[in-house]
Amino acid sequence: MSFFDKLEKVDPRLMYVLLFIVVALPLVRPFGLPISMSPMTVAFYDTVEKIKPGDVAVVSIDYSPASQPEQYPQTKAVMAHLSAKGAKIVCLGFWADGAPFIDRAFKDVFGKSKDHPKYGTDFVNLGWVPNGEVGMASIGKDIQTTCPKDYYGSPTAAIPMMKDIKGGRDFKLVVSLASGTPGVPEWLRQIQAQYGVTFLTGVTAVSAPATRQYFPAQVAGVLEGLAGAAEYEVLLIKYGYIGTLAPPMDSQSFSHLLVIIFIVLGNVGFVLRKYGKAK
Amino acid sequence: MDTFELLGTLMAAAFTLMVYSFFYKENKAYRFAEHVFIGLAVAHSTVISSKYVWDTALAPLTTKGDAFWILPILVGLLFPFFFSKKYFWIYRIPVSTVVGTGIGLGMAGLLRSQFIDQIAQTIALPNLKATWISGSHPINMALIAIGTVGTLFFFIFTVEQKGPLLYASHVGRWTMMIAFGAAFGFTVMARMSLLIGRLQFLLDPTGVAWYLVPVAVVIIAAVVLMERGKGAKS
Repeated sequence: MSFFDKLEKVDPRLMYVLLFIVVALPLVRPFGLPISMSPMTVAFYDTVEKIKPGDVAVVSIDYSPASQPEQYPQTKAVMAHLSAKGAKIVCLGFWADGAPFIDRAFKDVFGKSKDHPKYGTDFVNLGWVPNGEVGMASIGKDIQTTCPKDYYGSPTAAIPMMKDIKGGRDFKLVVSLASGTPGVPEWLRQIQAQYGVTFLTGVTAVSAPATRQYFPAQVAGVLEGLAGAAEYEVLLIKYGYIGTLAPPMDSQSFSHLLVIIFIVLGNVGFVLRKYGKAK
Repeated sequence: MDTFELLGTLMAAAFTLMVYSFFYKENKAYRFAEHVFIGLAVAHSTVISSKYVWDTALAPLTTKGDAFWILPILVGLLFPFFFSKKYFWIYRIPVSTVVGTGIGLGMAGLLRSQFIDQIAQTIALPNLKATWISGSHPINMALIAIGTVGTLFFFIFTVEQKGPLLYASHVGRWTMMIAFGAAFGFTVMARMSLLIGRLQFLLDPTGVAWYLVPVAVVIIAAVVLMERGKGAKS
């Protein structure tokens, strides 16, 4: 077997070991590579900047633990930014196993969740809403009937900030942190198109190409995967937000470099072997 | 860190390493982790779905006498007929209700958000002041228009593709290839992010998860050596 044949038939396990090393190294010892800024992230930030104190912002956790590395940092950053702008944050989720992230994000961003003195006045956790798109249509029409109790069992109607929030017409902004269905198209169909609410999204990198088509007319800003979250963290530095994504972005860059090297080597092997045979 | 949190972290680390053992090869530890994950996900969904049904329908029915909820509860109770060969037709009632509602609601916004607005964006006039990276920059708008029209030509099957139609179709094919390439690139990025997330958890020096990493490495190394030994003997 020639060298070029070997290039095309590298044992995948060797690649896994290299990948682990390349990803782990910057996590242990960060390199501090620069983070560039995408126009979608800037648009996302600018849209939240326009929020005035008291405006109602719905944050929907539409992802499962599988997307946590990309979307949980987005969640924390969005909540911190909205809180800094004085928005009334209504959190809910259309993915059953995503809703617990709301409670965790409250604890990480505000220090406490239901025991926080501002819970119920500045932010609320309505938990999981079933039936996907039907549920979205339903919260647009009547959020209190759709979510009769909050995540912790208190009647929604008794929560102070929910008294004036009846449905889609009261939402100033909707932020869906989505990784699949129900997600962005469903929100656009049931809330953005119906009520003309400003809509933002944070998606996994897999979903990013399918989301770009809605930017900027229907989706005012997009956070694309880990990179989008890291860019957003950089923009939030002025609010004193301490991000955690600089080392992971180093890992991301190095892992991409490794993939590119292997793609190039594999193709070089293929071309040279073919050329050799033709000869 | 209390005892439960400590145990939870160690279990999470152990299950992560069990799943990653698949990188070496399929094994029982991986399968165990896979089955536990599926079981937990189903159990979690069942518990919170039941809670929602209780809060939304059963509680108003039993405590306030809100009789309206009898109807959806009865329709919901028809789902288990899926398992009966004789009465399977009854199962179609709740399914058709759910599908009908979903399609009806979906169609209401679909035309606007995914058809009219999308066409309007595609044929919108370019913004001469836009930066080159923006989709509304004249060059990008031209590329979008050419790519969209070319892709539409690719899917014309009623006439033979030759002459100008063939060239337009080739433009469409290239456009789709570029789109698939971009999608593949983003998918690689997403998968790397997942690996990064897990390694961040496993290698966090302030946590306890990393205790299990050397243990896993030793176990995998021992398995590899044992298998090589067996291979050499046979």
